Parts: sequence; C-alpha cells; structure tokens
Amino acid sequence: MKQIGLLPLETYVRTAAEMAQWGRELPKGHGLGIAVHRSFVTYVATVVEVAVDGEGRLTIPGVWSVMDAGTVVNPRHAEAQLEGGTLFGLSNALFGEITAKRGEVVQANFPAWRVMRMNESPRKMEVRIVESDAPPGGVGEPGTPPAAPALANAIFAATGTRVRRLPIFAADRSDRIAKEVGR
Amino acid sequence: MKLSINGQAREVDVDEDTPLLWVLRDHLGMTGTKYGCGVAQCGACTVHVDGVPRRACVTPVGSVAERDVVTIEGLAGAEADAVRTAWEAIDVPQCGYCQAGQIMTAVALLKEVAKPNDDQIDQAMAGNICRCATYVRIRRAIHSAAGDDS
Repeated sequence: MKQIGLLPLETYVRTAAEMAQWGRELPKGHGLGIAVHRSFVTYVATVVEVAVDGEGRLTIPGVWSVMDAGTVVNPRHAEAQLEGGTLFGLSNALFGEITAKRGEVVQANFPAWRVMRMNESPRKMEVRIVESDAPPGGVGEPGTPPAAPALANAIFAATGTRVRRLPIFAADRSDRIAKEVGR
Repeated sequence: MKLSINGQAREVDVDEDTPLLWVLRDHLGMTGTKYGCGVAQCGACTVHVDGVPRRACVTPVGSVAERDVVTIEGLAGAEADAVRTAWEAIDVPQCGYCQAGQIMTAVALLKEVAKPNDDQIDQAMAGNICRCATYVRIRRAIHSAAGDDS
C-alpha cells in the first residue's frame, strides 16, 4: 500500500491554486493568499480571497481548499469537515482572542468573544478531496491550520500590510486593515 | 400558568419571570431547544412565538401566556418539511448543537420570503452562531429548500 503524503507539498499548493484560478485578474482591493500544512497525517492547501475596501473593511468572498487524507470512508462528511475546519480557522484568525486576568479568562461568553457568523462567511467555498488508497489520516482538524496563513497572505496581497499578530481584530486593535501607502 | 406549546394546552407552576427556555427544558422535558449563551447572542434557543423567531433564554414565560409557542419538536408545514429534507440531503449538521435554532430561524425566513437571496439569508441567519461553521451548507440548504437549486 502506498504511504500517505508521498506527493510533495507542491502538488497540493498547485491544486488549490488551480481551484482558485490563481493569476486571474482580481477586482480592486482584492488579494489571494495561499498556505499548505500537514497535520493528523493529512495535507491541506488553502487559498483565501479577501476584499479590503477604501475604509479598510475586510470581507472574505472566496475560499478554496484541497485535502489529501489518504483513504476517505465518507467523502461527503470529509468535505463538510474541511469546510468547517477551514472557517473555524478563519474565525479564530480574525477574532478568536482569549486572554486571562487574575487567573480568569476574560472572554466568558459571546458578547466578549466574537466568532464568525453567517454574514461573515464566504459566499464562494469550494473543497476537493484527493482520491487515494493510502492509510487514512484525520479530516476534522487539518482544515484549520492553513486558514490563518492563507488569510494573512491574502491581506498582504490586497494591501501590502503584513499581519504580524493574531487575532487580526483583537479587542485592543482597529477593526480596519491599514493599507501601505500607494496601494 | 397556562401555555400553548406546539398547539397543545400546557399548565406549569412557575414564576412569570422564568425564562421560557427553562420552562420548556426543565418543566416540560422538551430538550430540543438548546441552551447556548443565555444572553440572546447565539440563537441556539430560538423558538417561534406567534410565528416570529424569539430567543427563549431571555423571554420571560409570563410574556408568552396565551400566545402560540412552537418549538423544534412541533415545527410543521411545507417550509419545515422542505428545510428538513434539504438539511438531510446536504448533510448540514456536524455536532448538531445549534441546528435546532438554525432550522427555527430558517423556517421563519422562508415563511416570510419564499425565495430569499444570499443577502436576505445572511441577514436573517446572522444571529445564529455555528461553531462547526456549517454556514456555507446552511446557506445552500436554504436555497435548496426554497426550490432554488444552484
């Protein structure tokens, strides 16, 4: 039996890029970012498209993701898990701040702990499961790790601003994305 | 206190300011309506009061006496059937905890707007959090339930 993960990372990066039509002409203020990661013996590559308007407001119009989890028993559920894991990662990268004060978590409930909602989720989301007879890897969490770097890279592509701290919209920071001069 | 739950007359011995959620869950044993945040931020406890979605966790039971309360257990009609069918066909739920609330809100939307567009869906559903992030499938399932397969 073929071992999982013999394909180089490049294959997954190329597949995700193709799915997102990497290199296409983007509307003004839009940017694409890509990332790939291996976790739970599974590879996931993700492309995120962001749009940053003139006031620095961020939206995520599209997400494309490919997963090689070896043998997949239930492809429909694997697709759903990849979608959910990816959006969970984007939600945490955007808002998921947890801090402690005097031994107690400050964000005790949703009023103080923002999570992605329906109106903030991408209108376009495409996922693909690689066909493989290799031993199975995980499908629940591997969507999560590449989401944040793909998002941060997309913000750089759109604005020239590098994200250096997560979450992007922490409570003590602006809810707008700064743009580099001239972008 | 006399209540109408899912078309049935029920009588409960509770204070008027008891949240409807706890009357449903603890006094009537109807656990389909979920406790999420307790402060009307997540939508897991959504029920219909006279056909309108309400957060049961912040609704004093005294305010719904002599009004029609419908929970996920009693949700019926063409829109509810279409939503259940679409939810199954599209495999929407993951952990499932928020889904009773999602379905209550979705059915109320479809009763109001027969063929909602993405903006109308997003606006109606923004109050229902899903930590599994099934949002993309919920949106697709609402379109499907509206007969708007794309």
